[in-house]
Amino acid sequence: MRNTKDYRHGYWRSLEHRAMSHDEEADTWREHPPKPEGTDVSAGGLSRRRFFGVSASGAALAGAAATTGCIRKPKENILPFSERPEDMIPGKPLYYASAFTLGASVTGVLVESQDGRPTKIEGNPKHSGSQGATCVYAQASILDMYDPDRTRSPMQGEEAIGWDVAEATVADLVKAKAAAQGRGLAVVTGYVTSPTMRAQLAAMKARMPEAKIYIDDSMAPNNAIAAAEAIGGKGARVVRSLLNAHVVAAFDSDFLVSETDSVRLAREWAKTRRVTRTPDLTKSGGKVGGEYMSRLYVVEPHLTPTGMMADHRRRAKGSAVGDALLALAKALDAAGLAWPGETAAVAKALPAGSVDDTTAQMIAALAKDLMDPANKGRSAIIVGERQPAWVHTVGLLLDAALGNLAAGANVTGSARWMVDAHAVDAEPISNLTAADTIFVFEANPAYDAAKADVIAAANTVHFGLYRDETAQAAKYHIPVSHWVEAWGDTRALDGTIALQQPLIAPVFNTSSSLEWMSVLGGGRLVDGYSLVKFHHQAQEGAGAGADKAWRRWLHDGVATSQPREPLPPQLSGWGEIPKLISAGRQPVDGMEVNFHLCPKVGDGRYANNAWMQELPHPMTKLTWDNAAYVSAATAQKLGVATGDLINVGANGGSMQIPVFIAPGQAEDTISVALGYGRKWGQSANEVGFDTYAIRPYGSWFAAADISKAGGEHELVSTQDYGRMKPPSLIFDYPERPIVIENDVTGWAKDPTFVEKVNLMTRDRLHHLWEPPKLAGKQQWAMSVDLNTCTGCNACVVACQAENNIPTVGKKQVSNGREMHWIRIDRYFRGDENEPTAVVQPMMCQHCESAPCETVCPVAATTHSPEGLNDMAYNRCIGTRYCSNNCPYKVRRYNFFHYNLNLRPGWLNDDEDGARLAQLQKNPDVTVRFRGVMEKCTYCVQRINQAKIEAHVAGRDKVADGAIITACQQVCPTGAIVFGDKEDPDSAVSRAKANSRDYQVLRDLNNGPRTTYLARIRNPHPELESTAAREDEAGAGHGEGAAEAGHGA
Amino acid sequence: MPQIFPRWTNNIPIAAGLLAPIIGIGLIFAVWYWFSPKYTDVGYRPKQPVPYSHKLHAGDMGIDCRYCHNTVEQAAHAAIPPTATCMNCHKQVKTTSARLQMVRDSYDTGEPIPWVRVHQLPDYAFFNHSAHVAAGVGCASCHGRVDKMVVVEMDQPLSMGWCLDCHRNPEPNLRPLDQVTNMNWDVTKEEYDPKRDPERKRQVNPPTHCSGCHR
Repeated sequence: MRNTKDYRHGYWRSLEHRAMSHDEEADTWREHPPKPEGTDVSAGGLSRRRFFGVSASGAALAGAAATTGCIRKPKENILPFSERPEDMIPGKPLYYASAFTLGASVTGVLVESQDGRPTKIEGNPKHSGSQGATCVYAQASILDMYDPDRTRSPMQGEEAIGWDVAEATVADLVKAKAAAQGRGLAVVTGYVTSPTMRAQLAAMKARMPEAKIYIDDSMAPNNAIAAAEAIGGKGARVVRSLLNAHVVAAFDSDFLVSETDSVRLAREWAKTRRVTRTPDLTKSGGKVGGEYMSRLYVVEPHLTPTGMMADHRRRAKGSAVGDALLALAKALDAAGLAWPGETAAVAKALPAGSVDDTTAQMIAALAKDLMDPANKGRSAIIVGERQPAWVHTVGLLLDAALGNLAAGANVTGSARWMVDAHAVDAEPISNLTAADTIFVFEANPAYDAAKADVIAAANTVHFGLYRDETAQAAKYHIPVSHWVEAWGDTRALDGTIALQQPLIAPVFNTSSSLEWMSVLGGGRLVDGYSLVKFHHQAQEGAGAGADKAWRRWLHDGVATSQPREPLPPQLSGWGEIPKLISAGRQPVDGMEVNFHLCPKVGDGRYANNAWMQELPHPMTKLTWDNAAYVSAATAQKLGVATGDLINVGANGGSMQIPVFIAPGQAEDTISVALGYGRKWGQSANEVGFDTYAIRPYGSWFAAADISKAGGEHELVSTQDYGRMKPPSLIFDYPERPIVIENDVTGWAKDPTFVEKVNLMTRDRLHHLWEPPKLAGKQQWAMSVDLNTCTGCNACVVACQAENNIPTVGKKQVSNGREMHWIRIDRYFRGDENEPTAVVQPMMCQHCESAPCETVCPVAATTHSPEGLNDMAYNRCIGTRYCSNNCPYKVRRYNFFHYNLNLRPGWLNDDEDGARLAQLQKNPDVTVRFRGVMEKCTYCVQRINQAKIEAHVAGRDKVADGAIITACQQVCPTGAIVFGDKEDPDSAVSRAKANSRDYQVLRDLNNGPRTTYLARIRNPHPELESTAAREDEAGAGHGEGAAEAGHGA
Repeated sequence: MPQIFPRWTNNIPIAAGLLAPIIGIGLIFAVWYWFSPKYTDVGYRPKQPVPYSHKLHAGDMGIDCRYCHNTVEQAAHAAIPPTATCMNCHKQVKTTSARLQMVRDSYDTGEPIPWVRVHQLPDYAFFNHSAHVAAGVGCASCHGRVDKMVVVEMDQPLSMGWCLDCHRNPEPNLRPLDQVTNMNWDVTKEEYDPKRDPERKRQVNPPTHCSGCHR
């Protein structure tokens, strides 16, 4: 019997893969597996008619060339500025500080401008919400600016109207309402982070006291805010920091990827997980606790990236997560936790939560960890934004008792109380039942809050980028500026103020929402620059030095002189908790449907973003779709398999949605993502299924009737693409080490464990011929830490933006033709219902003796003296041998001219749109044509730029840290490190010196330059034995199938 | 039976056998010569919208290249100057010249002058001026004696083979760093050893691998 703590074996990529026999698996080992119906060769939009058209024009061109006797390139004009702007050097990008907002999260960013075109978004290291990184949404939002679907002129119904008409219409509506004190006026917005906009709304309230403001924002932490305000009064907020955390318990919280302030929290949490030295059991008394490496406990209904990172994870229905927290409160109380002051009575009276046995075991271990004196004030109870307010209040109660919640500076606690004094006084959108004039600012209540009737019945003016559901229902639709085109300001939850500045004049001559809002407060359209500057100078005083301070803020992106110290609120609301519990606690007995924000399209606001649609989902790897995640056992009960449609009835509505059997899903639940099933937009239209139809607004789970519907829907998941296990036709390979994990004690006992998982020892590896010596002064290499990689996808989209990677559409993805240079592989291990998971970003490994190079017939891929695996696109003739021979399956082939055909069938009807989208392209990277192979270049354009700068300055070598690849730049957890491996002091050399460092498929002796740091888990010592027992039980029936061919 | 073909037709196969290689070689030569950038590109001299003479400005008056192309030491492009640079002088001199009408119009209206690009690399080749200037490659090495051109033309083929000739053996084309813009400094006549030049902080080591220029 194999030792179940042996992390070498038993990985599987999908349930299909897990159930396969060894021979079947060999048959499926194809890079582009043929589909039953064959692959459609015309999928690039090249019909027969168009083919002949292209042939004819080609012939005409050849004729023209022959007659003129000239094969010169076409004449090109250079149009220099009449007067070049200061600091602008043509061809050199400039970076401007701005800020990106999503719900209540603010990420400071630096936007790259290439000759006046914003092309790429990077994190701003000076902003607390970014610390140099960004989330995946910020990366993708640049594409929205160039979206050809953006409305180009104001509209009344279906008719385009002039800007002057639009402005007069809004002014008239406001005037009429101002005369009536605002009676019957409703203003709908998303969560407002902008202090200027808050002031404007306050001015509007002063002018029209009876006007109502409604917030419609599913991405804002509405429940967390409600809980904080219940305890701390109006404006109270809790802001977390995980820098000092030893123990983190997440209750249905995906705080690492998709929730508020995820970038900052992921960065801070990663610092507690980036272990550089091997643990020493002799010094720590035989056990490794949170002070060495924080420990993460998770209870959640479906597997999220946070659950994937957890040391212990338990499944629970969304409606039962609160019970787990109540059980924890009871366990802590039983262990003698000292409840501070007035909270004791409340805590003692908390109802008992019912949890199953395995969860109870975990709760017991968690309680022990929390009661450990070493962890006092160094833990965090994070309740997810989907949980109702009462769960949040219980979480805050525990945080307070554990010493985590503190006020004032210099606290070690993981969270602190603050007061957001100028928060907008607003109601949730669900309260909007009737109004005669509605202004909707960049919100979509007709889609996400079922308010289409109310919108249509009133004089509604919709301000937004797209003619979306609300715009279609509204009487007027006025396009607004994208945030990269507009002035603005933001206030993060921790109080950091950051300014937004435009990088480009509005492409469609629009004004921003902030500017339109000035009509509400003052009656006329004022430019954003004046609004923002005036507001901040009024706050700071416009005396001497004010202009200088303003310029400093713009330059840094952060207004440092704004007060950031928290003001502690009066915590008088602890007594509210029992009332909140009795009002809000609603267990679901039968089947439960729970809703979540899609880690790709959010609440639907990125649904028309082709990058986001094509991105594989972090856990299920689904693209261009959403689905109902169910566990294997529940699927069996329902009699369905992946792709089968089910009927889901909830909240008085019903819908059909395909099933996706997702390992790690709680029993008797289905989890569905919001944001799909749209009826507009070239990317969004008809993609996925609209789950708002069955969602009670503001609630994230509900009892549901679920039955098999009959019929199927093709779901495209990339989870089986690029498997790295060879067929067993010739040799019966044992499973090769691709992801390597261990736990801390295993690592401590055997510091060289990564060495031992290889099939061959180092001395057995020989080259057929002497590898050529690499003469470069610096040798580029990368290290990826699997211990901190959360699979959030930010790197995938950052790479897409930086390297001009096209999207190909669902059909092409289903043929295995996606173009992402970074593929984030997700592996499961263990039981199919309660597996552990690990992700591994896989991109070109830049092998020192690269298998791709030896088979290229035209030497289009060769090695640089600095260790890069170069790709000369113009030499490539498209044999695809290199891709065939790549053991890591990281080469991507342009089967069609995807860059012209950005979306399937797109160019033909919208050439303006194609030209607009071209403006996003990075001019430092070649745009590849059909028939060309491509792959990760280690961002060679950035390497060359840094080298040229060093050479011009007279240095031979590039300083460590001067080259930051796009994926490294954006990584919230800093898992990716790049640099010169010849320099022993470089960050990458230090990372590779870690005893966890390993090469994937080292036995092939390729010498990959990208190496990985093995994943280390930090299980609680008492749960370890339990986990091992469970593992063993699981191994008995589950792993046998996948491993049958080779008893280990 | 009379002969269908006259007797001289017997020579056709011999003639064909002799001519075919000549035609074949001719074709190869034709492609090799007439399709190469040496033929198609060298001497390319498009008509510019403003009859600007480098001979007058750079040659006779001796204005340094960098007065107008002032980004050459910092950026990939040696940018065409903005109209404002022309007007630095032409506000005072030749203020009524008809040939400068377009320049004055551009300065007044902000509309750019549509100069025609002379040196045009393919989009997949990434050339950087600042790196070459810092290495001590003279302007004249690639652009020829611009100071003698009334209308600028291409002096060198700018083909990949031509680039590599120098990248593989750069020394003959290097000059002291303060002579880069000197049109009269003749690399074939002057004695200069870059290895012994104390002004150089580093010895050049030009890339000859693909990603040096293609990315």
